[in-house]
Amino acid sequence: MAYLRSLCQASRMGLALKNQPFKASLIQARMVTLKAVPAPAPSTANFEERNISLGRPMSPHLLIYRPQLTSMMSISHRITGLALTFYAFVLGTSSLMGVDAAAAIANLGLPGAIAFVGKFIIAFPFSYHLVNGIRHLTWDYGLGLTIKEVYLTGYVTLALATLLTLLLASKKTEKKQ
Amino acid sequence: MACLLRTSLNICRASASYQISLLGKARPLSSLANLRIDEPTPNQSRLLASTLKATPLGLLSKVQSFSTTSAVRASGVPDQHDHSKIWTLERLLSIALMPVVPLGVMYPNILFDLIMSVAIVMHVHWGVEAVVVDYVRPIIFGKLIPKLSLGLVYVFSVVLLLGLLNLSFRGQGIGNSVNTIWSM
Repeated sequence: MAYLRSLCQASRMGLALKNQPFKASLIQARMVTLKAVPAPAPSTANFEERNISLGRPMSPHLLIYRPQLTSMMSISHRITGLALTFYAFVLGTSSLMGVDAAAAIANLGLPGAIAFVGKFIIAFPFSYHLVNGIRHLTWDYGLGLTIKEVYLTGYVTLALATLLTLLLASKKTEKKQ
Repeated sequence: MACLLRTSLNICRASASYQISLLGKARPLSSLANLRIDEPTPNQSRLLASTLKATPLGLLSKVQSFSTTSAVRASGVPDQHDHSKIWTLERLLSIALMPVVPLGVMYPNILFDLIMSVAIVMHVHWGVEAVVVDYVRPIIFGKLIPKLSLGLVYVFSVVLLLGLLNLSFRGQGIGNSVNTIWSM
């Protein structure tokens, strides 16, 4: 705004000098008119459309980054979530087809060691997603966001998730009926 | 700092509302209200371009490119895609799931099964939706497949909900199923 005001003053000065013919050409070059035009409409293109129209490459590209604890734990959170989704989907859809998937698994009569591995495969996604989910919630709350803390909580999460998995996988409930 | 920010925001708003150009023939300028609207000649346009580079107005034109969000906010039209409340709801649901799932497995009953069915399906839906939006991207898959995939997420969530409700009402239930598997 201050700059605009100085422009106005300059133009007034120019008008005062206009009567002097030999300075007219110089003054003409300095004359000022403010022009009002409507603001350009905001772009309606979304993030994806803009990236495509600008020809931007995909980023981050998975193949050019060294695997790090942070990124690997991040993608593991999604993979374990999808694994749990798969387990729920198997239980649900088999029920829709009139099959009791849980009873079918239990009736396989797997030996103890194999049963432990099976429980481990079910319990690990649960434990990891639970403990790392708490870690994510602390981030959402604004805590533990420095790189040092992210690594520290990362290792703690891996340890706790493994412990909880071992605890759950070694459990055995009473058989019903 | 705050003052500086406010000033630059005001400049943003001003420049978003009016493009001010340094053009035209000499006219009496008693106030800003007496603005003349003239089309620039090509010669004037060239003069404008060189002037803009040489003066602080060049900075002003740079500020303009940052003004779109201010313009949107100043327009007063409510944002149709405000997902801030959903984000908070997602977090509250995640917190709720932490006691709900262990309780539902430790004390299997129809009420916990129903709460688990709905809560799990909502959590799964938002999670899978985020995965699909992030990885099934138009820049890789084109226009159609990402939209179809997002539609499939809804189909998937409905089937999952029906399945878990069927398991709860007509089958042995979610909590009992986990206990059955753990009996091996």
